Amino acid sequence: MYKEIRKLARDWKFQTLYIGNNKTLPFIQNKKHLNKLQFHFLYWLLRYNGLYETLSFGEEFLTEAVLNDEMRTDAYLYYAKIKNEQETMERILSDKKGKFNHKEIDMTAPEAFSFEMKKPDKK
Amino acid sequence: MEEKMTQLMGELFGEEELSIEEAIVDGIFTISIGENNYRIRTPNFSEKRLAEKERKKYTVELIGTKGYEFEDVLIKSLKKKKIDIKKMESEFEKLQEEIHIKWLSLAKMTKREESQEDKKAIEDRKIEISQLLAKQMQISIDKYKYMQYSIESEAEQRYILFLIILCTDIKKKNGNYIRLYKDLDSFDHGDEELNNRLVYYASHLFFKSRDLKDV
Repeated sequence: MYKEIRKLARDWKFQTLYIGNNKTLPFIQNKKHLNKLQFHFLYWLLRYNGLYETLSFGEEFLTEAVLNDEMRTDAYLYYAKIKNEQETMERILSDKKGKFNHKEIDMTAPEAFSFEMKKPDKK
Repeated sequence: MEEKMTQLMGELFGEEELSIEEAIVDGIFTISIGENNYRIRTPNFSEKRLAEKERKKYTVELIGTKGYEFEDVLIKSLKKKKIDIKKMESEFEKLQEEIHIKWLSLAKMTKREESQEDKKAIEDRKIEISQLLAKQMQISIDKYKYMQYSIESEAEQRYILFLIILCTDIKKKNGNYIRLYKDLDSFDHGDEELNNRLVYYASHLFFKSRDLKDV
């Protein structure tokens, strides 16, 4: 059944309905009480929507053949997740490096820890 | 692991009569057996609350009943009998790590223009992944076999059964639907084929407490 759900979620009928309604879901009747099946469907509808957008940017390792094959799609999603995590980590590291580059402090020097006590303001 | 069990159930029951589109759009499954038409629908908030109350009541009933243990106690008892659930879980995780490695390699095999050789290599990698998934499926089945009689699992089954009773309707001649089962006893005496299907469809409609933890 999960295979069928994914097939429907990537189907142009539901993708077009989703995009055509400004990314809302008028075709689902019981929105207040979503069931497990609907939850899975929505998860994959959004996933495939994102993947179709990525496909249009000509992203590496993503082709129509990948999207038509569940195992290859899972593999691509995992690859994209890892790539995204690595890029985020690199960005964080380079941001930190950038902050400290302009003011290199020798933490072994005693001056690094010396500071003057501020005298209380006389009123 | 739960998802893999459900997938296996689907393969066993066959899904040719299912209308998944209907289940997605309307939140119901319709079932026809002979001349009778039934439906199982998504529970509302008050129905879920009633079922939750039943789960708690049943959990209290099971505490102290001979043969029923909580999961953590059952795991310890099974280990004494050389059935190691924790080891099964770690094997499952190890397989998942192997799958992740194979997924990365499969993803990177994609080319804009794939030759016959590329396609063959992709298919081979997919077979390797399928074999790992099959091993995971076997672990899920083994684990389920041992853990299905824990108090948590029994209470969960009662919760699902209670929702089935509340949410199963039969179609009358005038086209209206009315509730089919009054209570657990009427369910137990109901049509076996229908009940088997209801249990299967319920696994797709109703969230289990474990599913909600994942969410």
